[in-house]
Amino acid sequence: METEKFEEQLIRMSKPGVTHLKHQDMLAEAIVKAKDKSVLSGWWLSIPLYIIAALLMKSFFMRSTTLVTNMHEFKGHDVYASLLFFVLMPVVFIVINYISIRKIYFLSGSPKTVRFLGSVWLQLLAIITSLFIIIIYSI
Amino acid sequence: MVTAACHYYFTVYYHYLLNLNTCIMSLPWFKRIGIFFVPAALMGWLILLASVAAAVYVFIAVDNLQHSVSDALMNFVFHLLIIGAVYSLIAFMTSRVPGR
Repeated sequence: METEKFEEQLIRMSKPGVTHLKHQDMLAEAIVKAKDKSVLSGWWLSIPLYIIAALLMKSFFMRSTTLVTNMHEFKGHDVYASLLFFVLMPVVFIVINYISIRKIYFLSGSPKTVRFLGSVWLQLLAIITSLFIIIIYSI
Repeated sequence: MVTAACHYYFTVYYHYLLNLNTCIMSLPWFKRIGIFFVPAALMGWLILLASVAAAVYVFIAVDNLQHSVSDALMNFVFHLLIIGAVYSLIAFMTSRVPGR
């Protein structure tokens, strides 16, 4: 008798309808956060890019100099500023954007498609720009 | 009697200030639209106004030092980028409610 009741109870007990998955929220939040970080990276990386553009213009108008010599001059003149803008900041933004991409990749279920690269192209652009700045500084 | 009244007044005033402070300081101060962080609270607007004031001050200072328009603009843009970067950093850090 009790067993029948228990079976009835089990039948009545249905699995609650899960309409919204938790990890969807987490993924959406991770994407928004990653975009915020890439915008922040863009603002900060625009400073060394502007300096590179200025040095490039200087080498264009002063024929006797090149971008490399101008960069060496800049490094010697502003040691700490050059280290901050051309080494420290790009490295920090590479790490931050790499962590964001990894998080999105993990939450998306480790997809192996080109569409994933399309969804994180801003972060990839920030990493490539940071690498470009470090390379320009190190030559 | 006077002491009790004073105590009551200061207690009420203290709670008023505390509530006001909590209300003003509550996050988020900014929301992101595209590549810009737009103020979403009073503190955000104050920070934006401070940034604009700093930019105007820097422009006047740079303009007084330089002799040509192009020199002034080139130097001003560099300072403007730094102000924009600092503003975006503050906005990024205050555009989210902690623990969410």
